[in-house]
Amino acid sequence: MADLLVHFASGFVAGRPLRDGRLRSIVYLGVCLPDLLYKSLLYLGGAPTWLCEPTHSPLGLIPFCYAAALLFEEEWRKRAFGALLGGAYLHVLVDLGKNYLGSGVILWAFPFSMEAVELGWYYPEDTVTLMLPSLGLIAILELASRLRGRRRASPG
Amino acid sequence: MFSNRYFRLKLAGALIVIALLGISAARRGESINPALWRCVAQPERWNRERLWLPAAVIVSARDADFEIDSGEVRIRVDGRAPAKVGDAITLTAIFHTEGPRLEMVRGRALPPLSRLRWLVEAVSVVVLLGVLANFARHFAFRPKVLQVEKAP
Repeated sequence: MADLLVHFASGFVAGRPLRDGRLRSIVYLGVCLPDLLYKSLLYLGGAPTWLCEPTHSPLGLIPFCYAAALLFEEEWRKRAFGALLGGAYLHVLVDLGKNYLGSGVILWAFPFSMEAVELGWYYPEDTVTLMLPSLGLIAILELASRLRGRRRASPG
Repeated sequence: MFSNRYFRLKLAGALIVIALLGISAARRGESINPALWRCVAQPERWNRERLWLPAAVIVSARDADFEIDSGEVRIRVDGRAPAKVGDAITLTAIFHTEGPRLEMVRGRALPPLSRLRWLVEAVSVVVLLGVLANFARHFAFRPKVLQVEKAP
């Protein structure tokens, strides 16, 4: 689950067009949030894996993002909640594509159902081969956005 | 919903919901992919339970079954081995009390690339540190100090 470079690349694609760097930084944090919560509960809290599952479920992420958004100053909370939840949902969508041989990866309706689903598009170890393309994607997007910014800034 | 009004109540509410989700996951989630050693330790409890083994090594193979070592447990698996002896595999299977043994549902050989898991984990830590550093460029965490209300 901890393949944050691929997740960050997906967040970068979604977040880079945002003009506000502050909002972007929250989207990037949101993209890492499910794994950050999962690993914190697992390794720092010593929790069993099944206790960590709400961190990768669509409904389970809402209270986490809401609590985190409340830590922002008042006028930023709504935007922070949207950016955190949007980033976290992007993470869950990317994880949903994994193939765990039919055993499922995302508890899509937790806490109402314990049914785990997966799309089976790629194997978990494929993230090793996806690292370089992810880096390339990030570099291309960053370069394109800088070039566009320079063109806007130059007169005529 | 996001205003300062009833702030503590809202924060407490969110934390209570998180705690309730944790309790729900703890009570109902045990059957999500139980660890093989738990199944072997309590075979009656986990009889006919479906499980996913992320990695195991085939230690011996015959025509209709094979034996795997998961690192914690050695167990016989009914079905044709998806790779040769000594190879790492991943599989989903149904646990059976008799034996105990596994009945393979799906299995496949793990490519050598899967040994680079440590690299993914290391890169993930670097990415997380970068994301946190970028966040800290835009937002500062300044909790209020504890102040004495009045002198005794």
